[in-house]
Amino acid sequence: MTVPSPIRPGAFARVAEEFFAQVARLDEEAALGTVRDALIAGAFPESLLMEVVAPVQERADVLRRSGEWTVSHEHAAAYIGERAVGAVVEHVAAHGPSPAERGKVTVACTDGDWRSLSARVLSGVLSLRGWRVAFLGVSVPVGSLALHLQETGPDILALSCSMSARLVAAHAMIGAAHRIQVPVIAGGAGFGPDDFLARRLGADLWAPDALQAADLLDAGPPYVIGREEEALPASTAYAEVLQQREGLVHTALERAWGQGSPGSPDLQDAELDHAVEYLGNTVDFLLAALYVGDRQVFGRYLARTREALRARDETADGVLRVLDVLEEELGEHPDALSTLAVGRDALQA
Amino acid sequence: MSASGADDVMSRDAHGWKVPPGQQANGPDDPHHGGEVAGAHSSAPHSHEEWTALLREAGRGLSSLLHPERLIEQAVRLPLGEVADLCILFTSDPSGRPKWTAAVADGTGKPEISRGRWSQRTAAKAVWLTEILDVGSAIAEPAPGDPVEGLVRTLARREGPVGSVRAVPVPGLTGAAGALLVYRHDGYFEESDTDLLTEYAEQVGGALGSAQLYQYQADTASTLKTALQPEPLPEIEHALLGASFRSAIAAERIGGDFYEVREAEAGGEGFDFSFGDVCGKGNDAALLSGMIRQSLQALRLVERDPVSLLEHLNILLTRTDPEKFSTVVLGTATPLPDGGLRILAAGGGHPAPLLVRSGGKVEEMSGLVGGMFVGAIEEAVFHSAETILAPGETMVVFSDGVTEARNPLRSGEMLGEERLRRLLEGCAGLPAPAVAGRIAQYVGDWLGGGEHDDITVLAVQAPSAQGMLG
Repeated sequence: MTVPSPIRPGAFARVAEEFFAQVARLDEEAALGTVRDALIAGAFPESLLMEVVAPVQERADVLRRSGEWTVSHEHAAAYIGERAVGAVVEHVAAHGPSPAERGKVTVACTDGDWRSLSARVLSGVLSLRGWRVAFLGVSVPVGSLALHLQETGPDILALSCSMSARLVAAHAMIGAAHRIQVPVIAGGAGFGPDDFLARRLGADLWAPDALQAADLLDAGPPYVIGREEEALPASTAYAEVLQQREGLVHTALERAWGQGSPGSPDLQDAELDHAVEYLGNTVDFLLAALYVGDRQVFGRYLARTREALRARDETADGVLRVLDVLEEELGEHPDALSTLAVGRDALQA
Repeated sequence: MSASGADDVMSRDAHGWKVPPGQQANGPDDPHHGGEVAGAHSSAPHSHEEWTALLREAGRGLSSLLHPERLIEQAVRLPLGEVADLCILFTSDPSGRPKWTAAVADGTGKPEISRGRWSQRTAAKAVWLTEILDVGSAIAEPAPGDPVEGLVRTLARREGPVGSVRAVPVPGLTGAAGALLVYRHDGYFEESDTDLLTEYAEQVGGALGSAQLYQYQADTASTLKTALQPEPLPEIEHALLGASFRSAIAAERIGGDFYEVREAEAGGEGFDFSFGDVCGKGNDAALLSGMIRQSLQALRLVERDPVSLLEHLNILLTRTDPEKFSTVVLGTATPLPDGGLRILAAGGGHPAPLLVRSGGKVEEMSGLVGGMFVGAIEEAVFHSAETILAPGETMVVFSDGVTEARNPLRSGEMLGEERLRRLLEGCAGLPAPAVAGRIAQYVGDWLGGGEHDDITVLAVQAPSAQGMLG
């Protein structure tokens, strides 16, 4: 790196706003132009990635949950964000000095997790610092990950999970990496606000964002695989709820939202799909909370639901009825009930 | 380690190794040489049985490691703690410059790994290593002043006297593949310890042999499979392309679906595309799809017309093996002066591509519905269809793995074409790669982790001049 321009706090605020506006109207060319112009003007590439590109994921997520954006819009915005990461890395590779080589890292999104911008930003930051990065992309099946790790033997796996409902799969992926002696650094909104869940699932390192992850990895390989893995709390409710997953969704659909009962209007096809998907998600967050033994996983999910409902000016009645039904159905599992109660409090806070 | 008391009765040379009684380098004149030494039997706080069990148990775990480097790291890590304070594995190298990988306990119980390589000159000075690697000695002991002493001091961060050391061969397919050296600050290695280390090193050698063999085969398989994987889409001036492929087999990157986009051969305009789904699954299907792709590349040298291409391919496949057939959509795209694309396509047995028009209307490329499989019967007849993509409009070609994905929350209901159309209506204005990615995401959510066929999408778009949502 040549002498980076000093980073003033918020120096990128204006660029970030301009970039986000271009991303929002899916103007890829303009968005990439903004990033390149900033680089030419001397912006420090890492800061550009962290302060301009990375925030797109969270902002797009909020807009989607509040109903302003469709999932497709969110997806396309993230795609342009990923292109911008590529543009930054390419620009630096073409114009900057090459950094000293560090090691090999594999970056993967958790199976079932389709949001990859944060993971891509991490890949970008690591490439800029001289890592050889293999980016496996969205929703990587655990078998595919194991094969890749066996074949390439990276120094570390960086596992991204943007959604707590996928923590069960994240645990399987951490286990798969450890079985072949590859240490794991975990990150992403799905792991929550601190290192508690990452540690509980056996990850060796955790970072709240790409920059801090890169700083941690700066210590250089080899990284140590945690020897004593904390056993996950054995929840009988988890197995039970998992088995009843489909049944719970249908019961909630009928009893909470009156589907299939005489006299209530049936949801149209698309609405029904949406309802089933929402209920499936709710059950998956409950499952993840039971699996990792952390009620806050469910609590945070419903806190976000509360915010989204407020943004849309909708009441929480429909969701509360779903919680009622789940409580009735899972009455014999104290840990399921206490988890649902934490969710209810978060929804009504 | 609690054997510190033993220090008093052990002979120690500030420039050499600590050795068990009766084997002192300094001989009987050593002032510490005394009768009590015979009682200093314990080399470690663990009983020999515990030791043995520990290392055997650990050694068995090695065979699950298929990456040689990772295996070596684990092999030097395992003896730490109970058995040794430092463990180094030297592997022989044709260049005569042995590589070493070392693990040292850093005091907090976390092992630290480091590696390096010796020069030929250093290696030549390490007589014990030559004895193990070249002469085939079953056990060797570095003499005082051996280059390994310096390495041990550095790795173990010892300035004063060093402890005991033992080295045993790591057997390879022929001769020794390497040498395993263990070091301990306190206590010394007894004969029974050496036997155990020899046994451990044999397990390491066996696992290392398997891992190297596996790596060789994996490299071969990977080379072969690379030829069968979809090639990255080319950058094409007048079009924006996107694709997504998820194999039915979770641990695979190949499958029975294929797609390809290539710029027209010299003299032609625009580009050619093909997309198909062969019968069967797994490696056989992947091989067949590879053969079809190669055949198409050859045929395209002499023919560009979609129907003629399908006819030729049909004859070729039927004659190769009538049991092997495929659905195919293929065609050409020609850039138009206004930035649009003219698409001419022909299909055999494949779901008709969907066209995402500006404004979000989704229509089927109607002339391509149905038709016969390619490669099933020689007399098959194929039809073509033509359409124009205005700037910003997209043609989506997909395999039936998309529409036949089953949702476990809906008693296995299939996704169906209606839902795909509805999804695409909301994808107007998205760049082609985002359309392909969005379909993969939607299908993935619909599947909820359930099993599926190959899921493949190719999106061909006439780029719009400005931001798609203007």
